[in-house]
Amino acid sequence: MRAWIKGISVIAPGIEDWSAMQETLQGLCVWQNGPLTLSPPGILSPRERRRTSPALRLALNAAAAVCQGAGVAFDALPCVFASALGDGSISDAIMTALTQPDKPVSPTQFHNSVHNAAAGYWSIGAGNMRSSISIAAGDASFGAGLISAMTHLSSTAPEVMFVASDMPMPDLLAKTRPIYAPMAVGLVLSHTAPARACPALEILGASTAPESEIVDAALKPLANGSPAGRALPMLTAIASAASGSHDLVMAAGSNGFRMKVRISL
Amino acid sequence: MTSVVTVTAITCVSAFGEGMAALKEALVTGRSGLVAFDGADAPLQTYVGQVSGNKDVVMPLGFEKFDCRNNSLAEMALGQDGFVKTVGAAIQRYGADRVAVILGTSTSGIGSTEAAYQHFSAHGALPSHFDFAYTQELASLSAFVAKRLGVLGPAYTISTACSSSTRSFTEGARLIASGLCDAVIAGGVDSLCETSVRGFNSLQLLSPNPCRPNDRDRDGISIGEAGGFALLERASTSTTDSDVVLAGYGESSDAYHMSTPHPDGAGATAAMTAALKMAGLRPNDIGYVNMHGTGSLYNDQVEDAAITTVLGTRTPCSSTKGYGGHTLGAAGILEAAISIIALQGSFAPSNLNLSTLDPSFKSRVISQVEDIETPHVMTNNFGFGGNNCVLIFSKRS
Repeated sequence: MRAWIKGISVIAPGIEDWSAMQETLQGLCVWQNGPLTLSPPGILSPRERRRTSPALRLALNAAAAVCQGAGVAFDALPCVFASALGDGSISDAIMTALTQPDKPVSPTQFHNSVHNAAAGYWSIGAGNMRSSISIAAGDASFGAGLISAMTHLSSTAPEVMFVASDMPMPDLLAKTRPIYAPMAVGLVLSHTAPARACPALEILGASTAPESEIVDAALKPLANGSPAGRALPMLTAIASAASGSHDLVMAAGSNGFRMKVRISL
Repeated sequence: MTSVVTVTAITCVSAFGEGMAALKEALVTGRSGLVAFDGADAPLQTYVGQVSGNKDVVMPLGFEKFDCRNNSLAEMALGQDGFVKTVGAAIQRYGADRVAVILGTSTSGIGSTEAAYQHFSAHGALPSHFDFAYTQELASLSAFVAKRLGVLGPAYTISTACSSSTRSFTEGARLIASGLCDAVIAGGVDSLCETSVRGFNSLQLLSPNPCRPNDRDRDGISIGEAGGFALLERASTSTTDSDVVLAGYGESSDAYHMSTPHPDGAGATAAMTAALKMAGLRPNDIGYVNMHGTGSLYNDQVEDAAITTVLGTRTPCSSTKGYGGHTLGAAGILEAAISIIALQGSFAPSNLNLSTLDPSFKSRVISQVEDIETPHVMTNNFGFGGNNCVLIFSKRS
């Protein structure tokens, strides 16, 4: 399977966009963990955007950024959203409500608790009636989402938007399933080579070799501890701008499946 | 589709019973499996579709960490209709890394987290055995089933509310068409939990009685649980003589509201139209439509309008949610199983609990079993977030 990467977005603490990520990957600055402020998503109405949770903001902002960067309309593309954990803050709120005698689950929180909340709000805010899917594969969610996104590409669906994002959960749940830092990576993939030079991405098949690791010691905890961080070896290859092929092994299954991926610049 | 996909095997468990024979028997006799909900210390008047026998399931050796209601339902379903053996043969034929597992769920093992929070509330700490990653985390379902079956190819979980397991078929078809895999285990599981029942109740979407889809006096849904799996293979390399193919599918978003369908049914219409186009069929070719038909005021109304627009007023259609309830993330697989039983048996199941069809409806909702005239069945699922998915199964001669 082959596609061209028409646009990339990245959001993480201290990394506000793909440009900032490239500088870090090129060794121009050293990454440090820290808080992440997320602006309310512009595609939603003022009332709705105030009420968005951090997890929702992270996904929606990454989606808007990658479409803008790729020069595609928000309502144009089918979408794949991947997240290992979805919105832990809502899970926590509903679980807590259920411990009370009258079980006062908030109706808004309930319909926002679906794993496809980001996909739903994206389609509502952007007026996007194309197909969307929301998946999870644990720490391999980026790779699994990439497979799904690539299989969507065809002559009738020549471009697809893919966003992988995860937000640490509140304390009680975080104890049992920690995420190192919030992080989102967005891609716009194209079935055919775009007019301007873009990296090509190929999935070559299954691999039994170990997952590629990044070398940068400062970024390692992010690469290993945030599901979207599994994109970092691939993003490093792209940021290197070194022409030729870069082969890597990427986790892409909740069962430990790994695949060989080739980036060509 | 560039590559036709056969449904080589399919199985499920639900309030209908265990396995395809029990499911067929319930459809033929018109027997509902809905029972009154036991709200324990917080009574709630509603009906649910429950799988009895779930509590007797023992997780196999080495899989104890995966133990939760959702995964034990998966284990039950895997034990039906020789499914494990059929998958084993596919793995032998193609190689374990050429087979994938793609499953849908909305609940996953959330019941374990519900219990863990109750424990925290009473004792100030989570239970020591609570492991989010193996129970509630969505990946748990696909990880458990893949490992259980020895599948070494891609594995992931879809969670798009009521279209979750419907989409496992479309994802599987695309994955096979891509050439990365030769076979996919599609399907999904959803289990009864407080979250679903209290959540839908908070949205005032639950009926106090067994649901009455398409009825003039319908007043809400009945929640159910179910688990099921289907083996999809590329038709050209399949060595089985399965006569069922996934002829086409359509997917769309309403872009309207998180829990109310678009009043014009534009999304539903688009998905149904796209499915017909992909299958290369005309509206009259569809022998039966298994409706999403939840029993909610708006869903049924919008769906009727969409069916009428796309297929006209003569195609027999019914909702089968009166039998086993709305099984949410598992609605897709359960209703695919029902559609395939209908297709292979050339009969359209009846819409239960229909006293008076909504007089504003124009589609031909049937309250008696009927013969099917053509070898194509359509099944609809429309989920929260306006997530629509339609499948067409055909019997090939």
